[in-house]
Amino acid sequence: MPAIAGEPVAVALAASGRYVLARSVKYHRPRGPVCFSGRCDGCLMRIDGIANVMTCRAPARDGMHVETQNVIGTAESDLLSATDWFFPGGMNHHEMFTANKLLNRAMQQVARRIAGVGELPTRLVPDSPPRDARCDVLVIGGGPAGLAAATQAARAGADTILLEETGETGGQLLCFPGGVVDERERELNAPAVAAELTRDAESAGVRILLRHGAVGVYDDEVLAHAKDHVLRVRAKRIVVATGSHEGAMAFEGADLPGVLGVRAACALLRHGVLPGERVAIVGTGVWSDALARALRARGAEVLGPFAAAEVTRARGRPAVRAIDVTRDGAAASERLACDCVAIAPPPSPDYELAEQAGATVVFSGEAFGVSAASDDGATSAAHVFAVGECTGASGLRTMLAQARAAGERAARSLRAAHVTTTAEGGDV
Amino acid sequence: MTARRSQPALALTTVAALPDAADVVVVGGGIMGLATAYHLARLDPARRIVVLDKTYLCGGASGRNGGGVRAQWSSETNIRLMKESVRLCAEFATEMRINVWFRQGGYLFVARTESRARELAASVELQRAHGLRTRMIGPSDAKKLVPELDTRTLVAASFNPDDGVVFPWPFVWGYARACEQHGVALHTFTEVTALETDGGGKRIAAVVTNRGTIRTPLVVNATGAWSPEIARLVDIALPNHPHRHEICSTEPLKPFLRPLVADLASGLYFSQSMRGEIVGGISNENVPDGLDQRSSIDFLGLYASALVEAMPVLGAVRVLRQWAGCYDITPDGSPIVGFIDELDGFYQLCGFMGHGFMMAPIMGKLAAEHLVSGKGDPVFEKWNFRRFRTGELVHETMILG
Amino acid sequence: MSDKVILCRCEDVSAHDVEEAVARGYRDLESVKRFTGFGTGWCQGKQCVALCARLIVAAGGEIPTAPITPRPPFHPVPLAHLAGLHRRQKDEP
Repeated sequence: MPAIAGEPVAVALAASGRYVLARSVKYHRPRGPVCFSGRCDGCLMRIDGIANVMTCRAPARDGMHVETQNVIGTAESDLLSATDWFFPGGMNHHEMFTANKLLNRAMQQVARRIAGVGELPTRLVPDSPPRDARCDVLVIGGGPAGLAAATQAARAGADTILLEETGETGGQLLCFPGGVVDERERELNAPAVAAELTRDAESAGVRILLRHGAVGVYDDEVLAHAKDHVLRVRAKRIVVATGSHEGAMAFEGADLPGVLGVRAACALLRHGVLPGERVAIVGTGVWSDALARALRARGAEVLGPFAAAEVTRARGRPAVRAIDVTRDGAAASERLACDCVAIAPPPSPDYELAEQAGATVVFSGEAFGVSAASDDGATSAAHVFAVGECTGASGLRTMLAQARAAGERAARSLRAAHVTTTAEGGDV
Repeated sequence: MTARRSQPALALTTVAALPDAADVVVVGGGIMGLATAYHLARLDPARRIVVLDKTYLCGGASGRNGGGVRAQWSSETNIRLMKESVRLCAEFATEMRINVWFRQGGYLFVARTESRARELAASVELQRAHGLRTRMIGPSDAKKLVPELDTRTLVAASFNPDDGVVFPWPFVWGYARACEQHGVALHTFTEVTALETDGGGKRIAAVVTNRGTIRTPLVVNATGAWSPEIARLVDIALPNHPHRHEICSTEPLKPFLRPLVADLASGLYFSQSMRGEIVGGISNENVPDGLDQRSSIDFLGLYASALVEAMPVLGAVRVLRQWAGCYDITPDGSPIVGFIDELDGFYQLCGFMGHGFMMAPIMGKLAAEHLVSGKGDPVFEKWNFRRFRTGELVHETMILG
Repeated sequence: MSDKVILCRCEDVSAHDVEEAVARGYRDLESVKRFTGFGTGWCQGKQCVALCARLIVAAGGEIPTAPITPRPPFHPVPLAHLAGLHRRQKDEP
């Protein structure tokens, strides 16, 4: 399969027209990448003898051996999908086959054999010692809010580290196919703003650690995972700028390969890959509009954007081929052919690390987000700030202002702590 | 070095009103309390039984353990009781009509020194005298059982093919449903804030909760790690205390590991769940006091080191999630059960260390029989609270995790 | 393709499964998670927790006051990279 060296394997597969990469664990329904950002399980494949590799994060290399997992047959045609047909109303795994001991045991033996996704790895991975780092302010997330917070903290005199899980900073600005209005009221294309924010952080002396994904916050340490080792960071203040991602939408067939997030579709476009020739967009907002414009500019046909309530079903086997839409006021639904469905549900903030750090997370009615002061990102934990989309905020200018205030406050609070000998760290 | 988390909010989800009187109130809606309530309701349908839990079902150790169920123990009482409990686990799915995924792949205890091997062998002899099929095996047989195991430093191992692993949560749901079907009033998100006594403080009179008071002559303390707190409400100083134990699961793999592998020297244990994940833990003395259920970096390091040393191919396998629960630790490793001399109507069912889950099916049954008939299995005297006063401690050494 | 509205792709949990859990009295987020299995798979709820929370409320369950407990690691990490984490330099800079 052809690929551009270094691009994610899932992107290369999409470029070859392949969205059907895997099968689900229970019903063996076809599965494909949804987020292209390491926040789902749709892109998992076996690469070079290692199971469960997230192909949206695995850079393609010449000679790489990529296989589908957990199928009898192929991802496109898995014999085990008979389970899906056999249990049309769903499989009640709690109660099935509990009437009779022999049947129960037989059922369990089958269930165990079918269970599991990856085979054991065929090669040994050597132990790799952890590394350590220290700083005054640790910023988690190298998107616009993280970059702004880190820059401000560094300018205010704090020794600042920024952890970014991908190979570049800029976050969503890198994929947004349109213009944004920055803090100086200039309308620029999004990647240009990302580049400027990155330059500012670099010249302010922020230690930017790319390909370092924060994976856990513990009492006095943050654990990050780099490609082949982990890094423990001790910081006096933490600024969480982990952003948000598209979650799932509830309509029949929303789990079909070819149904992906609008941001994921934009990420594909950025890699020069058209997500589909005829793309249906479900859910409205800035991303939906920007995606629609960008798709049309590249010669793709765009259906919608439709409101989420208008779409009742996505159809196709093994990948999406049509959607059923009941437009507002229409008497009946129409079936529209498409080869990709880009969904824009309310965004789901990445609240996990902030919560582990001690910040309160609340439910907005739509999603969970970190509870943070809108002006400076202060949270319920004294040493933790949260800025940007992980707090449920939106709007570039507002978020940048909040992020800068957080960076400033985080740095200044360290000086104050020295003077008054206040205990560091928040209480649980 | 532990993950911080904000305090969980108590949401009142229980719909029914709390009764104002009951014949027995079981405090603790984990598997121990629910099994007891279930058997009580079956033996004595006229009895008004209430079960209280301060959070959601499966919130305590019943929802956090690794699902191990074994009869390999060093003390006679444990061997005898667990032999029966294993049998009850095997019957549970068809008896209670809910799948619990009980898989009897056996437990393999490994010994890496001669002295450990001798200790194991002594337990094995005792187990065999009780009719268990446990046997001592050498490194090459252990290797046949678990080809991926590094057996180079293995001296010997014990293996009982009838030990196994379950998925814990459906036990709780199964008992809960059966309780309700038998008329037990189950109230979650209901916290006991005080216990009232009368007769000059000589017997239990009522349970006070955040949702109301229940008059009752009998309280069963089945709160596990929280049991000393409950006992303190009536000024009883139980000698047990909570001790955090962490646990971890990996990404799901196709089935390859038949037994649960355990090493008493380090407390390491691991097994493959029905979903294909490797689930396990290890001993760690460096833990905070009290009811701390947060996760730590140190546990990850300890566990990963030991696990990869025992099974090198797992180095490439990824940890998906780590969590924790609290063991309910007693000075001699044996539980605290039965009535207490100091206060009438206050029945203990706690101190089960890290194996309360697997003991609950038999203990709930025996406790119910004791409460209904007044005549109990000898264990309610042998493991009684009074032993800490008389010095007749009962030691159990084959503790894991 | 059969008629299942899948909410949690990692564990194949459907909208019907969630509604059924609520109907059976498992009405808070943590209980529904355990009973249905949503959020317990590979992505640990990243894709589905918000959607499931909304559906639980719509089905008459409890409005959540906290998310399902987020435990480390945020992304799966190989055991070989974690071995040794408990060993520390006595004197750190």
